[in-house]
Amino acid sequence: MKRAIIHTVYLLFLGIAFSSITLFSQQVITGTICDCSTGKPLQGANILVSGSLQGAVSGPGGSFNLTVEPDRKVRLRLSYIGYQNLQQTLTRDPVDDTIGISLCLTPDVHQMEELFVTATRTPQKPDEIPARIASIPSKKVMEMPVNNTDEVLQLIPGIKFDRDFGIFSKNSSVTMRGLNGSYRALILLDGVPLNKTDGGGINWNRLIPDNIERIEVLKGPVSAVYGSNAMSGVINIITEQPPSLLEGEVKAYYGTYNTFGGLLKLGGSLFSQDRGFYYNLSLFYRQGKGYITEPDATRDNLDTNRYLKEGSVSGKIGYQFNTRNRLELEYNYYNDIRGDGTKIYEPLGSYNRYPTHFVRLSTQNGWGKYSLLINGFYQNENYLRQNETRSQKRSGKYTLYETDSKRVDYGLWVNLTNQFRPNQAITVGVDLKQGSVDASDTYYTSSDILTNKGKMSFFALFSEYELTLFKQKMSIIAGLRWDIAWFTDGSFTIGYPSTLSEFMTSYPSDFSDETWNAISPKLGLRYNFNQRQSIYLSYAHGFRPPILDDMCKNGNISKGFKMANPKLKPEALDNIEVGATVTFFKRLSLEPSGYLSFGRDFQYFVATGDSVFTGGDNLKPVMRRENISRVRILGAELTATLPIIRNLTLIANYSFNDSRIIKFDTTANPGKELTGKFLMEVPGNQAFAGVIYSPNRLSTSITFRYVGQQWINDENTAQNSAYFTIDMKASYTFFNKLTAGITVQDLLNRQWTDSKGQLSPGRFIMLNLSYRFTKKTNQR
Amino acid sequence: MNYLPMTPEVHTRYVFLNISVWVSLFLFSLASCQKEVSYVPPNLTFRTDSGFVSHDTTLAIGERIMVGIEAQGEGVNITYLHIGWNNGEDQTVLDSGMNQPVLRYEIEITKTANEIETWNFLVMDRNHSFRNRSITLRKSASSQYGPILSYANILLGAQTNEDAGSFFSLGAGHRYFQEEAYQKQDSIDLIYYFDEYEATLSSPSEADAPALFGGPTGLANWTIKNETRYDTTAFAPTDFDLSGNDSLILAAYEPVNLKRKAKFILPGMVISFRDPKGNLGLILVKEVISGPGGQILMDIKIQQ
Repeated sequence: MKRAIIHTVYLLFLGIAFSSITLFSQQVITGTICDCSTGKPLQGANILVSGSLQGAVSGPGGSFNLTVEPDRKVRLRLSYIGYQNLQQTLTRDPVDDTIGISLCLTPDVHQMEELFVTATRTPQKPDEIPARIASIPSKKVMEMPVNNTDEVLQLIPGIKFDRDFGIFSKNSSVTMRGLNGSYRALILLDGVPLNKTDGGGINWNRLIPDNIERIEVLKGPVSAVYGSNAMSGVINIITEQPPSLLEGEVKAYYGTYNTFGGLLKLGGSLFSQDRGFYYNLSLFYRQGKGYITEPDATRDNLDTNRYLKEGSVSGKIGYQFNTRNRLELEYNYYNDIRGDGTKIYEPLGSYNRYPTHFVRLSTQNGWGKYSLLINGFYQNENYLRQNETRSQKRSGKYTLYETDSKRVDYGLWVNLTNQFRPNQAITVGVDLKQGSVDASDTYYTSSDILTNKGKMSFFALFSEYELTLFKQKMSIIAGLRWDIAWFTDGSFTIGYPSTLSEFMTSYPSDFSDETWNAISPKLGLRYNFNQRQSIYLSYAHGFRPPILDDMCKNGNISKGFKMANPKLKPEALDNIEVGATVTFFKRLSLEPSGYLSFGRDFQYFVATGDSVFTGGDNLKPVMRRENISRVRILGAELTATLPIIRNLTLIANYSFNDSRIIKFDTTANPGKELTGKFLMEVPGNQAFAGVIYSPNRLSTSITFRYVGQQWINDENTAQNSAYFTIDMKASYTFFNKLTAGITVQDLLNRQWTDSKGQLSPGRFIMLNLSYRFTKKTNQR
Repeated sequence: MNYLPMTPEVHTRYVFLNISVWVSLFLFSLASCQKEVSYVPPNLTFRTDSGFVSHDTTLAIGERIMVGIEAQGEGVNITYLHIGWNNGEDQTVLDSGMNQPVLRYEIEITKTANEIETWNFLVMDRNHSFRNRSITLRKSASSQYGPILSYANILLGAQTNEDAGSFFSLGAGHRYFQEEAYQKQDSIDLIYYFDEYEATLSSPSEADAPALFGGPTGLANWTIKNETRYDTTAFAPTDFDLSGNDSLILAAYEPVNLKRKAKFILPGMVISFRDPKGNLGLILVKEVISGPGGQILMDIKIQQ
């Protein structure tokens, strides 16, 4: 008995001693893991000890603790979705049993599309943004049956594009969230604005779908970050990132109405340890004989084809100093000529041209917790128009004139972000921009030369605060921006006035300098229940500035004679919205949103009470744009995405808008009452459905788009009928290099007429053949 | 990320490619710049053949001459003709647009009562280059006023008046309904109609009249459409009544102001006109009954 007790105690003592020896010899590794490019801590990263089952997961603030066996060297393997894996060897400190380390993971560029840059001008995870966003990657752009970039936007509910003549349209009008007027949406190219100060819109024909990396859309007012034009939302076209290998593509097109063209792309990079040059180049050309848009019943010998010829050169070159610092230069030149459908004497008839130069110089810098982004941009659009008409009323009077309008916009956008806490960041920024117009209408059938000039300079300060709580389940973004603008150098002159413009000489020609400012707040909150269910709520303010064309140009319009108004103020909009993302059975994803917006100081033409003989025998009212109305927009949107089987996806969306004028100042416009009227060119209902099937080398898609009825005038006395189109695309890739494809728009050939009674192209077929080459290299 | 090996050869090759691309873009943008070009103005001459006056001259009041011009651009079309009349200040007689290689234009000029008047002819071509020529007319010291023809109490009905026709011939001194006027197109000089709120005197070539006189015999189907032009005057009815020769008619005549119709006609107005043959005259409006079924009562005096 005594011997048994002593034996047991001895065994216990050995066990404790052995355990103690083991405990006293183990090593503790503590550390933090962050994103190399942004400095943000990464929660949820996996840390595995190679050759063992030991591991840990980083917690809030990217911190982790790991207890390892007492080896002299420990090899850790770190991994995180969206980042490159990292292997790190640690040497045991013979004195201290604790090792403290700080590691960072490099984002994997092939998964960068998961980050969204448009919401705050800095890369953010989509699930941290309290707004309705969408990102369309290049793969989806190329799967869609489209010939122009704006047509891709039908994938997103609440966006309407008007391209009534297909590729032969001189431009497209893209509007969002129940608002009309393309100047009420901000369009960015690689983060810099394309909206012109003169007219407020952009030329969508310049943006070639093959050059797109992805399109980011943020709906609702974003003026708290971007200021002007971001009233209904922001669309950011992000061009292709240069490939890591040398890649190129040659493509040829042929299609309906004798349309043909080609594309050449080349790009590559010279990198060594995350440092080096990169570049890409793209050349594009397309021409088409076109068709006559005037219906048969009203066609006469003056109607001719709306033809087109266009071409562009785009290039990007940059130098990456490291993963957080780079310098990049982008250049784009576009030129086109598009017939207007009328030809009387001139060989080319009436036409429009938009030769445009665009330059962007950007630097991205990061150090410690700071990130700095500086964007300089310059855009010079020289709009040229030749117009010949024959008046049906005035004894067939023939008129020929040319417009030469130089629209220059340039600026500098700077924003600095400080991730001062793992879950908090603040961004401050300053924006400078100047836009100007120098335009002339030179008549050849009279002596008149009309010129208008004007300039608007912008300055803005903004700040944004981001906070995530509850293990990043909740995110809050609050922002405030102050914009101030100066209108200067406005003038309208008439050289050699004839009977055509003599009456204009009695109206003001030098316009006073004016100033206005705007304050744009925003507040948003998002809660992620889990990776698949979330809800957001937000309030935001947006505005769009008056355009130079309204501030410093007199001229004839269909309603009468338009006087310039340099005292125009910006329109403003306040929006509240709520939305959710819900996923059923891990497959069906639904994204509903509802919003209510109130706009004020919306602009309409107002009769001044005067009338004038505008060169003929008829008296016309004198009109002027004024800020005179309030509007209310009530809307709802829904996107549904369902991967049916592997490589087969169904996408559908629907939007509803009730956009009305709720107050119209009749004292400024006696006899004209628009209160209660619907905004023109805003369909009450839109819908889209598409099926995309892309297994291996085959890619097919078929889409259905419906656009509901819309009023075509402010008085709501005439409507355009609802219409729908069915489009399809199919392509097949041989030997991973050669791709043949066909795109068919308006498959059922259901021609419709626009608000001016002009015909759409009908069924439009485009064939394409492309060859893609890649230079093989040795991997390091 | 896969890397290209940074050998000197590879580096040099692609740096050269980069430089080539950007230099090409720069040169292309330079080539897009356009230089200023000067153009040769168009040719412009007066016709010298029989029946045309091509130089400064002296005329009696009311005397008529024909002036013709011929213009041609230097390899481009003529796009604009402007005829101005200067009797102390510049006024526009004609502003016309066109797009043709050669322009020939004739105008009948009636000497006004002014001592001196200058007729300016200006043409512009597709290069926006101008050329102008002018003719100066002086009043003859021995000018005399001519005789006139008078029509009293001429009653014309508006477009739906079933009792009085809307069409009038100055040569015949007769009124016609539409069907009859269609048979006598070459002699119809005046038309009366009521358009919305306006009592209007017009002529077959005026642009708005066909909309009110339609059908098989409507103005749109006429092959001969005479043009009469009108102008308002400040004369009183008594001035009209006392006028026994064409002195008042000539005093009212200003070629720059003549329009294709006289609108907003009211009783008591004295309206100046030039008929298709170039004869000048005056109309005294005595009565207007408004409406498409209304009528106008007027006296007419015209150069013989």
